[in-house]
Amino acid sequence: MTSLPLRTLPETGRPATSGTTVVLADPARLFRSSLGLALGAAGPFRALEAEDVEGALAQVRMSGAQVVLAHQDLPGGGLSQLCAGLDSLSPSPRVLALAEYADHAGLLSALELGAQGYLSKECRLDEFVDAVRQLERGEAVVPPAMLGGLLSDLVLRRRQVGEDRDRLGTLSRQERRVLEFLARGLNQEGIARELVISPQTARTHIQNVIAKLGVHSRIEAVAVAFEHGLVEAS
Amino acid sequence: MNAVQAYGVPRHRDGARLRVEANGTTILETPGDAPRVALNPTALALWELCDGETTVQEMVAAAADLFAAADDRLHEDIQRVLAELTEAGLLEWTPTSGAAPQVLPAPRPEERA
Repeated sequence: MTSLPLRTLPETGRPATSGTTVVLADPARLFRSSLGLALGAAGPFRALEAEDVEGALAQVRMSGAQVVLAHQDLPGGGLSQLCAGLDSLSPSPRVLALAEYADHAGLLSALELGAQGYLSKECRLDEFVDAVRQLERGEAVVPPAMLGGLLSDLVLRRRQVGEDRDRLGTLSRQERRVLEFLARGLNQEGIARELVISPQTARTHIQNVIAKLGVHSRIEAVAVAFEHGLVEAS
Repeated sequence: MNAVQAYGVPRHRDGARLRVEANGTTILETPGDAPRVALNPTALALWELCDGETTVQEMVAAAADLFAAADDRLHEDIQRVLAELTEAGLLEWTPTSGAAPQVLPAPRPEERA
């Protein structure tokens, strides 16, 4: 059977070296140490440890680490805060999110936050080392058993985006203006003043926008507007 | 145009069964003497997308979110996997016009590699 190659991430500008520096960011010292020993035994890896987001970022800045292994709930802001901090670095290291147990929602969340890989602590040590090697080569890491569910979810999400785009296309010019004003935080009266119409008519336009977009509230309608670039977030 | 491109949407052929052997290998099989097919994780994921609704184009687009290579390379790889599954008698295809599903004939024994 054909095996599709996993994703190669854009070149970071960093040439391959004989050693890879990995920051192991997990609150459990024994776990960090064990992984560090496993990496050291497996190849020319240099393992640095951190117990929280701040420590991990400091280690990366100091060492120029190529890979960060981070617990999803790392103290100090979790994966979200860590990825946000790493984004500002150039080149930024590849991130492998570690979860206590394999979970589809956790996988999606990790990828959406910017991680390039996801593993659970249920994996074997050799699988962990292989994952680090894959990341260092620029490949994504997704547990094989979760690949089908992830692809299915990506198909559904793309369909939803397409449907939202189609629904936006059904809005009249006035309705699009109403949606833009909603996204800027105006209420019914404010929209009425801007468009020089009665508040009752403004309310009707708002209701039409909600109905045409297939959502249930002004907030959801605004979310669709932002997702499709109708309005830029300030 | 090859057989896969001629049809729109793939779905599991009735009777196809999935099982995992003791060594962890995932096997697809159908009743009768059709050959069994071993699936790697990627092929299994594609098999699971063959739900009678998901088009090849949608599979390529989703795979592009995860996998490297240009879309045409992904398209080629995915089509090759789906063609193998079709030749093994495991998939049938619904033309995008909505006509009744058609089952591609399984290759004669002497045609199988």
